[in-house]
Amino acid sequence: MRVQRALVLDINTAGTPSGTCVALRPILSPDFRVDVLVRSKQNVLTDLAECQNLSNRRLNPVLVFLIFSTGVFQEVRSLIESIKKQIGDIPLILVNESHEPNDLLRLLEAGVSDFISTPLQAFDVLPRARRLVKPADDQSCESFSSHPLFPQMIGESAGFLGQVRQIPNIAKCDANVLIGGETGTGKELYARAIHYGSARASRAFIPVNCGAIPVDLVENELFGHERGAFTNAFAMQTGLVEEANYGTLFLDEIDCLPQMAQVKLLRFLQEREYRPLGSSRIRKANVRIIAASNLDLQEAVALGKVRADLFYRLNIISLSLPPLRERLEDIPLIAQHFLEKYSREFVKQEIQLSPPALARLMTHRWPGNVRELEHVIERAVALCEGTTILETDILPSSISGGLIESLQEAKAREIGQFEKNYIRGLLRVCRGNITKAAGLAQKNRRAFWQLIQKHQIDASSFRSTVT
Amino acid sequence: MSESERAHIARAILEYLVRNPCAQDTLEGINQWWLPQELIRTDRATLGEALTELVKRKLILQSKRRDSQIHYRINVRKSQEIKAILKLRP
Repeated sequence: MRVQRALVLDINTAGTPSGTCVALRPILSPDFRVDVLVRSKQNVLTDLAECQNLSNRRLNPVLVFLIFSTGVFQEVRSLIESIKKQIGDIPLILVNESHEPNDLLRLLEAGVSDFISTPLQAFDVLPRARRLVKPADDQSCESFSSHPLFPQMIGESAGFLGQVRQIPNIAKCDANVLIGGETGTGKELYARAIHYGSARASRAFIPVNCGAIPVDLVENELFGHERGAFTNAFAMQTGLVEEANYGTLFLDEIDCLPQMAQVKLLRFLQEREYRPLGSSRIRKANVRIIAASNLDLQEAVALGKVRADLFYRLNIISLSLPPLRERLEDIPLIAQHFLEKYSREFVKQEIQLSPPALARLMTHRWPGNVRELEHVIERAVALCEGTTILETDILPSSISGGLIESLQEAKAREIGQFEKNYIRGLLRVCRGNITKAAGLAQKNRRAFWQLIQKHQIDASSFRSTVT
Repeated sequence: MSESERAHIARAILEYLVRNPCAQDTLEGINQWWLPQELIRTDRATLGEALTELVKRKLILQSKRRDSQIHYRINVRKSQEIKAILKLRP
């Protein structure tokens, strides 16, 4: 069998093979004949010409690995575009240590097929390389365009389409993804679109809500345990990481992950290996991680809530989903989709929105985003007696600004206001120290942090406050 | 919901799982991704009943996790039985 060739293009300021390049060569050599080109930053333009002559040099690589250090982004992008022009569909895998998600997305658009982070591991690199050099008719999953894709992704606004258009490129690479967006914007829907558009589509998609798992059990849930690992551990239990092997693990509310679990997850992301509780054996798993949060994770890092190294490891590619109030023009389409869905579900004839009802929907701020809109329409369809939903039919408590609040609503509002003022007062006294403030409130830190999140209080703004 | 509709959904799930024996997802994912690939559209309640029926017959396995999500996957021990069922006319 003819050995396929891989070209490693190492761009670095030293002009000599980088450590990454040295590490990559033996990893690839069992499967590929490896050719290496090392060029310094100053010689990038020369590389362009060199790469244009690749076919003359009879390198004929089936795969190109690009290794580059920070600071030469524009040149690398030009290089990628040049290679794509010269060699057509040859897959490019980018290997780098530092990640700027926006840069990486631009590189995906320029034609990069996948990203690999250092340290390099053979069991991570080779499957991804093999997947990319498979002939097109041997792909295990359907092409993205032939999928019945995006049936639930509805909208025409620029902000929405901007994110959706990135999904095919993100799906075809195997890098970790971080999805940001307010609650109800559809983060899990996007995560599934990435999974089912990827080469992992035929494998497990395991969604996990990190915030819904008791703190003490998170590690066990993710990594499993051996029999006798702790009291009542009568049998071995596999973790979600193992269940997601060769598939995708979607970690929602990643900011709720306890520190110990963050350390273990970080190790797993770096080494692709983990140790179940009570086990002396290290296990390996090939899992793509898609993480999500409705918080500004950089702020959570600054507050010490999320480890910086974990954040950078996850934030290789990021998607930021727009809130519904920033895509108001999509509301009629989304509302129509839910009208049809719930008319079917409740076995009702086709129901439509009256113009005043639609106008009311358009003026609401939708703090719960698409999920809130769905519930409003579901309720309206369920209660609708005719074929048209009137303005008065669709108004749930959150939209009914002009109506009198119920006792429960008024109480909730007052309690919320009290909590907010109380927490702000404590943070002022403790100069933004959340642990101290939680202690004074006689709450555990996690619960106190959740209250801070709930009321969207910026604890760091109290750090310079003098009592 | 009619018995035949539930059977139709259940059959589609089994067909998907025979083609993708390593697949696993929640009801939401099955509804959004597996069934559309079988050209089927249904509501959550109907799908829930079909899944319950398949779990009851031990053709698929469900696991409830600490975050309360329920994941479904094929029962590989029943693969032959599933294939035999699918050979029968619907």
